[in-house]
Amino acid sequence: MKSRRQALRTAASAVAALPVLGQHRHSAASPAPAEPYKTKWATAEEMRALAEVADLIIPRTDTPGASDAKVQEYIDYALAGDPKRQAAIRAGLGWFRGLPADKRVATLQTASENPRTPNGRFFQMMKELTIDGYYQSREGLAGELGWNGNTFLPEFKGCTHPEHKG
Amino acid sequence: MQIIRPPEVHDVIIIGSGAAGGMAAWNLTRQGVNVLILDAGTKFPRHTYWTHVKPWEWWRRLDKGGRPPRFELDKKEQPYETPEGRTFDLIRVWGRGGKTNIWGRVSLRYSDVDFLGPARDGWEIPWPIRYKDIGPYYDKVDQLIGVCGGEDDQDTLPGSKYHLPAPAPRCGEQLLKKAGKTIGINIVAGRRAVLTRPHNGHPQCHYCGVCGRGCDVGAFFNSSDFLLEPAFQTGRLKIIDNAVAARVLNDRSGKASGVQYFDRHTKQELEVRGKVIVVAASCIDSTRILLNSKSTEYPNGIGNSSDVIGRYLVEQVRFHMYGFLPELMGAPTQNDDGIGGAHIYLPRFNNRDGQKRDYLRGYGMQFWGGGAQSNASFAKKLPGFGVELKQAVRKRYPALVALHPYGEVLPRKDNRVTVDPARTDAYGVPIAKITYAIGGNERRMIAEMYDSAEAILRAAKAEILPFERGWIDTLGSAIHEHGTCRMGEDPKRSALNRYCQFHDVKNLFCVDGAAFPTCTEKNPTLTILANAWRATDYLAGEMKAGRL
Repeated sequence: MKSRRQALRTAASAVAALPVLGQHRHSAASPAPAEPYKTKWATAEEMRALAEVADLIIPRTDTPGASDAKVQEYIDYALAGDPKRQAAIRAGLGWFRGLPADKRVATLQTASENPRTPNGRFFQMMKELTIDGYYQSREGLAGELGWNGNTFLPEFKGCTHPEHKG
Repeated sequence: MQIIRPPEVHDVIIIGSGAAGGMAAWNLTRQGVNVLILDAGTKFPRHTYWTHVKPWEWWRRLDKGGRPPRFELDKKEQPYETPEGRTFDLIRVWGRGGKTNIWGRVSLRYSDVDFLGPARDGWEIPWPIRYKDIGPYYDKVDQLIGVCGGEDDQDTLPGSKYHLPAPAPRCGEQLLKKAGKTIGINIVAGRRAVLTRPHNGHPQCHYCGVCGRGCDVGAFFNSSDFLLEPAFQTGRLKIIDNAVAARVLNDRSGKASGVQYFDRHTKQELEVRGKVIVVAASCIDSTRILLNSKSTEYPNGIGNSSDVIGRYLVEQVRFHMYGFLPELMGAPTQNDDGIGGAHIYLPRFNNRDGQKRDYLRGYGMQFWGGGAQSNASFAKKLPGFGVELKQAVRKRYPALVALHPYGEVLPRKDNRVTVDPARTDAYGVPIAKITYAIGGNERRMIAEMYDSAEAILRAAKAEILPFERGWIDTLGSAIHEHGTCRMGEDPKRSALNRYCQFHDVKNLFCVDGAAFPTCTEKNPTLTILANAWRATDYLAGEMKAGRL
């Protein structure tokens, strides 16, 4: 195993090669955003409904679920410049909120099996947005999936399993 | 506005600063030639790159008003046209180094299977050069820029002599190689212009995996760091920033005399004068400039007496297929970033294995996007939702492999770039219209490409993500445009000679991908570099001999 010192040396030489030190900030040095997210188009009620649908798609288990990762904020942001998709989501959320609480999972199941219906299209949009938001969040990508990429490595080991070789 | 015309006459004016223009400038300045580059943008400052912004920080930073450097030219700033219903996705980077700032870094030499292809099957004009002509330049380019790869030469993939060490394959890549072997498909080490050790003063890769955002240490070849900076150090290179070239000018004798350009922001019209002009603005922009360079002497555009300029546009077809390997289902997640993109490659094996095909030419295959990615987009194609979906995603996440075959498209006269005086850009210069379609040869090849990709996944016993057979990615999306200012021996059927010098205009050259008569199935940048080096050696020799 390469030592931690070697890893730091590679990182340091990489930083030293930057033309303007100090203007460049790596993520490790950046503080997490302190201010709360400001919604772009969804109402407070719609934000709650976005969180509820997203949690049905990716629920909390032994790891965080969609709303733990604030996927509703991602969805609001992702559709900020897209009034057409906002309207589709808004209509779908209206339909969803009108369902009795004990029927929501079963109805969503039906929608998921009928992708060509309006509700099916709403479900697929929500599923795709939830997947994008959750699996790019710290909770979903690093926490749930164990991703530890986009970092500095002194060497790349690749596959170390003899049984994978031809 | 009055046109600004400085009296200075430059030795050589180069339009463009990417792989082709950068190489021309580097090679000419080191041979004592004074060079002026017109660059449509400015330098991209490395310290502004978002190379180490984590996925979860990305959109939050955008939301707070942060912006990563914008490499890709906004199509609204500089539009182009396509006929109704025939999309062509044109990716351009205006600025120092052009597309090499964000390129895929796949560095494959063409072989005589490629150079002799048209001569053998008779489809359109032959290449005027062979591997023996360009081989020595490939050797020099490999040593200059640093290309990592294996030692697995074959007739479609020659020249591994100067490779830097290949990066270790990832688990999924090992397993695909193993699976390929069982069905006689020989997957080899990829060849990429990424520094797996320090090289010529450039630092080695630190395996952060997001090269498409620009490398914050310059550990892969880009024209700005590897060519333009050394050219500046000779004291013989000048660059005018934000200079959007419009036309090559000529004198009454028909010689090229200068370039008309516009300041990108003030829209001021200017002209510079030169003894030799080198066009290297990348295929489509170079073509547009040439077609717009109309004069009494050249009513059809400069150097275009053959009427081939703009025609025979070629760009590869490709698609994407994904699967999950059983050995890696539920395996612990590893850091699979590596050098960003594939560490393996499947060289062309079709139409050279003795079996008869119902199409001409060939395809190869890339494998980027396997293993632990910074998203789980594949999950959109998995059924259902809830705990089951979440578990299905986690199980498959480390097991993902991706296959991306690239196939050659034959040159056709009516696949072309045109300009219409009535359709102009912000500077009043006619924009490009791109008319492009594939034909039966490509559709037959695509059918086999699907068969091959599926066969590899089946041999690996992979669970295959649903796909639609026959679907191809948007035309243009391979970003490998060629053919619209092709070289050849016959001046009636080609615009350039074997040294990228115009048959019609001796002091005018075009050294980018537009000069290639075919697109092959391979990524072209290495060949653009080698060819531009070769062409400008000739140019420098002709200048010294007083013939230019």
